[in-house]
Amino acid sequence: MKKCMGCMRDYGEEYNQCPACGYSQEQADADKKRMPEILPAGTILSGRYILGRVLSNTDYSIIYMAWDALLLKRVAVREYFPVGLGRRSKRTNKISVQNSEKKKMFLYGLHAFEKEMILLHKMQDITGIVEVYRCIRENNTTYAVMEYLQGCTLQDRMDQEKRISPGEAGQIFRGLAGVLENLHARGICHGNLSPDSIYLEDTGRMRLIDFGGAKLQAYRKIGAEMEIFQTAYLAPEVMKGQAPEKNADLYSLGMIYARMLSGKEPKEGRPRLKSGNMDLEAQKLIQYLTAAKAEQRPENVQQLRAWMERENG
Amino acid sequence: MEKSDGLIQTGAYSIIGDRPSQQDSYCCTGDGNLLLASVCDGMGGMAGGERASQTAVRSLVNGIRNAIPLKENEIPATMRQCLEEADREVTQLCDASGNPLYAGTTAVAVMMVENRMYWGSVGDSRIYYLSGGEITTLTRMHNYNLKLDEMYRTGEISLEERERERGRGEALISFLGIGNLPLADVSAEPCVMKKGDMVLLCSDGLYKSLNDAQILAIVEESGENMQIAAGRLCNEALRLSVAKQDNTTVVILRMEQ
Repeated sequence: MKKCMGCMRDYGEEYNQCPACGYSQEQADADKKRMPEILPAGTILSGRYILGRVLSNTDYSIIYMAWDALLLKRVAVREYFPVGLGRRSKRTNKISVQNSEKKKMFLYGLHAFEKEMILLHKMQDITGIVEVYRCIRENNTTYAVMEYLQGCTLQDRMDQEKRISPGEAGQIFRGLAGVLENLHARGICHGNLSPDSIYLEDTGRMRLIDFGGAKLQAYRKIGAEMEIFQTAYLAPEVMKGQAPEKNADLYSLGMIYARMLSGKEPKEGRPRLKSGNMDLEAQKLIQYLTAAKAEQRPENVQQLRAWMERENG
Repeated sequence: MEKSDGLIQTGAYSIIGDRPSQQDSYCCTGDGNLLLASVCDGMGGMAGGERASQTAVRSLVNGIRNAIPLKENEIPATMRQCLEEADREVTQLCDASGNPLYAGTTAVAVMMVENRMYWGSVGDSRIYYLSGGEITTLTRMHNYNLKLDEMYRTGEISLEERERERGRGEALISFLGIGNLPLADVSAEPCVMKKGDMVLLCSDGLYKSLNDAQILAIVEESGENMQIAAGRLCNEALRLSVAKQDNTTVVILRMEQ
């Protein structure tokens, strides 16, 4: 039996490619050739996780599909690997960072990544947040083992389809508001809500896949070296360096809602209000949420709900 | 019951599995500075197992409550008396026409005073101790295998005889409802729990589907949330079971300070 590195199912030796998903060793080799920085399919991590094909490769981290050989299930493994800072050794798979300035930046980002993943690990009871099972230190970097989700990020979706229907956009909006309410109840502000950190499962559920805080910190430290961060959805006061408050998350929520309905990226820090599927009701809601002055936005999700009830009867 | 008084976090979960009825019962209850947790796995046709395990849990809770105020050094003896009393009560269970039920149940119980944990066991349910990334089974299974091993050790039977008898090895030789309880294990000394240590009580549905390493991994990966851990253990046991999944119950306690 062989294990398919594309879907982690087992299949017979007589096949050249997986009968279930069509992935083959040739494809795995081609992926590695195209993305030399990735770990080769079949790499075993921590003596337990067999890494398969790459699910996402950004300049901040690489996410692999993987097989948990202890609990016999598919998982996703996220590797901290900021491109431009480190290189992977072909022989040992270890990441090395050349000069001391870059090393400092790499480690700064690594600690922020770990901190964020541990925070997520402890939030598994909040519905709507990806489950992070554990962190592993190996190859001079850190890996987060997470539940495997089938679907795509909201950003991927909007890249393909441009606009989201008002019905679905409303559903995502309400889902996000619910997650924010739970986070805020624990005294946590997300601080960097963007279409990149929202995952839409094929089952119709919505999940937050990261907090973006680590990315934000890394971005500030590393500055122009990396374009890893969607700043268009950030509240102006957070952009200026203020710690995010609850209403900064609501600002991002409004910007995302506008992006979904209008089909257009925000322009110069302002949402697009007069295009796509946007009715007057949605426009008013977005204007309320994305007020440039923080004190003009709702303070929290409860206040937002009360406002919506008043406005919409 | 979820997070308790800040000293001990608890979680509990139970599934019926592929069985027609739920014959497991459990409790996790606090009284003053004392915490009692128990899992009982009933057996016996019709409603017998269900009533046996419920009766045992109720009897244990009442037994401990009636013994309060309880000096800490009296806990092991009290635990034993409570198990014996529960055995009597289960033995006396009758059906609607007054005929004996002939039902029985296993019992594992844990009592905690601050960070000191005492335990007791009858039958083949289990108590695990999880500490510093390791998992240890505190209990032994009161089944025919235990007797065979003892008989082999004392030279009463040969190796061949022991192996020949293994087929019947899982039959219980002690349970509540057997009458004149022949075997009950009670810890004589408390186990002092450190911050982050966990104690896990379960029925055999759990360990027949998951090995120790799997149990440890699932608990460690649940974000220090015992309710999530208990739920995942039961659901993963169901997912990974090779045969039909038995009733499965987990109660788990974690030292928070």
